[in-house]
Amino acid sequence: MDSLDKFKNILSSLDELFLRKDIQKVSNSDHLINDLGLDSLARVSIVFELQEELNLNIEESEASQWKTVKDILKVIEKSH
Amino acid sequence: MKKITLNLTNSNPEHAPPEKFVKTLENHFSIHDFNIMTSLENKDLLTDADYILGWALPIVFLKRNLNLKEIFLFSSQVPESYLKLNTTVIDSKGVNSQFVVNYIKEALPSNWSNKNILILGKGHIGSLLDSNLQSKKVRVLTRSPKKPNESNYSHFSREISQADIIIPTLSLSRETSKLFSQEDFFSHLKADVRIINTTRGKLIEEELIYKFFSTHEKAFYHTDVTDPEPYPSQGILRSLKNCTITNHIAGFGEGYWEKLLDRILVKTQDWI
Repeated sequence: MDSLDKFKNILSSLDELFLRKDIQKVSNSDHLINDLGLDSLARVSIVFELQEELNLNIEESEASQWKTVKDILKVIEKSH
Repeated sequence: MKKITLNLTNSNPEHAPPEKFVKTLENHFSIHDFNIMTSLENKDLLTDADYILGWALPIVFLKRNLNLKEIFLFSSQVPESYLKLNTTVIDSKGVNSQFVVNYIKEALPSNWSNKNILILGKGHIGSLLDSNLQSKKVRVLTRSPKKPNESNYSHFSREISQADIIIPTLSLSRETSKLFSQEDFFSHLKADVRIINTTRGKLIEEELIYKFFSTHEKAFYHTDVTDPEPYPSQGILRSLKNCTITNHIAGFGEGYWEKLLDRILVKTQDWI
């Protein structure tokens, strides 16, 4: 399973947060705000879910810098 | 004894309640295990709460609480993500409507009565605004999203192109967040249009706003809502000369917290 599939898999239970696109159609280059419609509350949910599932510690300052899905995938890749 | 959590976590300092409001709630729920949460660091207060009241929380924390019976939201709109929860969610729709309408009226230019005003949406605020303005030049645009030609604004290009002032009053959802596209909305706007936005920052894509208003100097964007809030000093909208940003204050007129308190006391009677 590649990082993008893992991303979709982990966050599939939060599909309703993705206002502009279904999570299964998300691609690496999608902008978190403009393409996916994720707001600040949604971002907190995503950070929390990734931390729980991947046993990671993600700093708020790090998450606030994420612009695209690719930025999140880098975090997932680090957890391998 | 029930566990009740008051969530005051909110990044916007304008949304902090007065001390009297909090004290009244503390007294009202004093026979129960009443807790106040001011930061997500105290999210443990959510895990087994029977009832939660306050600002909207990230959905992930609510999904994990299988004990949760009811939520009372301070906001008038229930986030779309909450609709899948197996919990009753009470919003505070109507509590701030007149305050929002007053704010919009103050944001109108002095000669507004000669202008074509287009109100988008006929919910609580759209209807109230319409009745407050009482002008023949006001048009309220409503759609039936299920009708094929009304699923977006492409069918309403004439109304959009004739409007001098546009006031969205729509709630934010998957469906409405796609309405303000370049093709169906921005490409039809008058070059000197004024848009007054008090809905949600996420409703209109920031890059499209910037693109339009940076190339139409006679147009004006007046917004009370951004994402995030407060809007950062380096945000791109700050560089626009034809843009006013306020910090989500429209609904917080004098007497707001007292009205909200009255609503809470009525709607949470079953919690006692």
